[in-house]
Amino acid sequence: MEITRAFLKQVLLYFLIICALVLIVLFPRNLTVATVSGTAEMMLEYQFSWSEYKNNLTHYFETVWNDKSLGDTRHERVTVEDELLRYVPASLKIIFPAFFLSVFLGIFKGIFDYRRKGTKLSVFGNGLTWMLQSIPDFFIAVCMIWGVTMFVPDLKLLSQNTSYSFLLPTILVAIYPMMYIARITSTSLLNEDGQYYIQVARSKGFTQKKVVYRHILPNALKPVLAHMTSIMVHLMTSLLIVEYLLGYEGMSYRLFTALGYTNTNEGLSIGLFEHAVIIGIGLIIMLLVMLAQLTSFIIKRSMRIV
Amino acid sequence: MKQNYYLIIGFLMAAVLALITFAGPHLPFIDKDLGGERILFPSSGEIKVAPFPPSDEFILGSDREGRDMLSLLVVGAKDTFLLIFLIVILRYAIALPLGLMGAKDKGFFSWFVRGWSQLFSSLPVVITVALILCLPPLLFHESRFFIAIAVIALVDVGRVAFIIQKQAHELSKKPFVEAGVTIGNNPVKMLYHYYFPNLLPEVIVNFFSEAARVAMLIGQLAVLSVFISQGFVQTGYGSFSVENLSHDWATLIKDARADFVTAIWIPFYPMLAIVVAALTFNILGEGFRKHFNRHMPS
Repeated sequence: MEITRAFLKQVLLYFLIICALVLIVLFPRNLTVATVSGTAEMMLEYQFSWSEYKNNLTHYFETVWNDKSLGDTRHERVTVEDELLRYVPASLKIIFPAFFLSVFLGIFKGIFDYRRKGTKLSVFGNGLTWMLQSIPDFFIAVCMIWGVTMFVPDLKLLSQNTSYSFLLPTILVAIYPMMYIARITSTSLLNEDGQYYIQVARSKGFTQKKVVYRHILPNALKPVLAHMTSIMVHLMTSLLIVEYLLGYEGMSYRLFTALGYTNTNEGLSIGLFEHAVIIGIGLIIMLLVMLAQLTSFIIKRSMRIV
Repeated sequence: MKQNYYLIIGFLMAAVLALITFAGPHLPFIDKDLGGERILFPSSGEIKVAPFPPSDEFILGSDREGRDMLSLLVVGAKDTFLLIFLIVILRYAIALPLGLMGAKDKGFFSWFVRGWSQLFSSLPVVITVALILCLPPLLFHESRFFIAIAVIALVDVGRVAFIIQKQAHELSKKPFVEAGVTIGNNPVKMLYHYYFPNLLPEVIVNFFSEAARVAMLIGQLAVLSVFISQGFVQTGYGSFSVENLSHDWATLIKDARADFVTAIWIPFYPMLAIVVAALTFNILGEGFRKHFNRHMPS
């Protein structure tokens, strides 16, 4: 009963988020360019009208209903589904490895941080975790890209035509969530300190390693699992930045172009706003977040963590 | 007693940043007006075109307009920190009362805070903020600066308020707080003598990590060319491009992708400045945490 209620609540929440997304995206955006009489100077003007807003919404849902598709893109006869099929797999190649990498390595790093606390190695433990979490992803990305192009250009790590093209973005995307998990794991391990069951396990003569992995970790895993969704959200944030900076053509990159910014020689110019693409990619992102939530739920159930 | 190095280093770094922010623009080698020449003629027959790489004249190089990067960074520091602190202060000004009102963990406010934090936690904050700030009425609003600050502050209010609410709720279950109610303190006295003194340390610590988060967010938004105060500049007949009107560090990052190969110093130093700012906030936060917990066994 409890589970059904929680489930229904989640569904309602996601429904609300989708509604908010659609409402924001379908906001009327018709800019009119008005010329100032007698000169070549022009002004951008904007006037909001409720009827247009309503028109946008009804029109969009009508096309979705009639064509059984999320909508059109800037390219003719290319629907959002086609674009998603083209761009999403490239991103999934980054997201899944990065997710598992950040969860597993993050937990390992957290255990390392916990065990090295107070020793000389704690510089590589807590210190490094803390440092890497304070540095924004875009800075690490820029440094890495610069280093790769300067020192190992032959490896073609930035090209998307190689079979290992997902390697660099995966590492870049995984760093921040990994450190996030590491911090949560080590604090949660620390919170278990001083419990009687740990003393009992130690008094039985188990090695420190065994005590940590077999006795403390399962108990400390609950808060870690509770943060699965935020891991996915952090991952998505990094993905957006990394894909854009690397020019990796995945869904976040497509999202960026759909916002109407295109990179031209003169810099950025405001262009077409592809509402359907944004809704499509927004849905995919939320689907991935839900997937992360489901994973944490399944792990919780299978490990009987209440 | 063990020295709190985090707090000392944090204060030192903050002092240096404050000095740069307030005294920096008046230093002799800083060009306060940010003038620049796109083309320089160092000697006869020689022509140099901006951006100029780091050299004796331009210690950190120059941007595409030929303006000195160091001057840009120093002059921009004020705008950047103003922006960050305005956002964080506004966020706490809303989150603190909301969180305290939801301290009972039931009723409307608790539900509201929880809903708010969940509503914005399923999509990355960058995407949410970028989508909202790209709304046309906001693009042209005269007070876009303040609206943008409000938007960024509000999107994350839920999360901050939720943390405060959780702590306040835990606090309300403590025996000494219940004792305070029993001896007949009115709600105002309860707040003033029981809740504030116990919540304040945590709030101060979180305030700084929140500031670091905001610094990062502004950088990320700048990478994606979403600015806090922006205007449209006509680049041709019927074409317009977005420009940042303020001097904050975010402006310099926007062409990061194009500048990788030709002029890495343009995005690199502002990003470094944001990293230093974020690091300072984090170190300060950690230092305060250690300071407030100094009586506890570690």
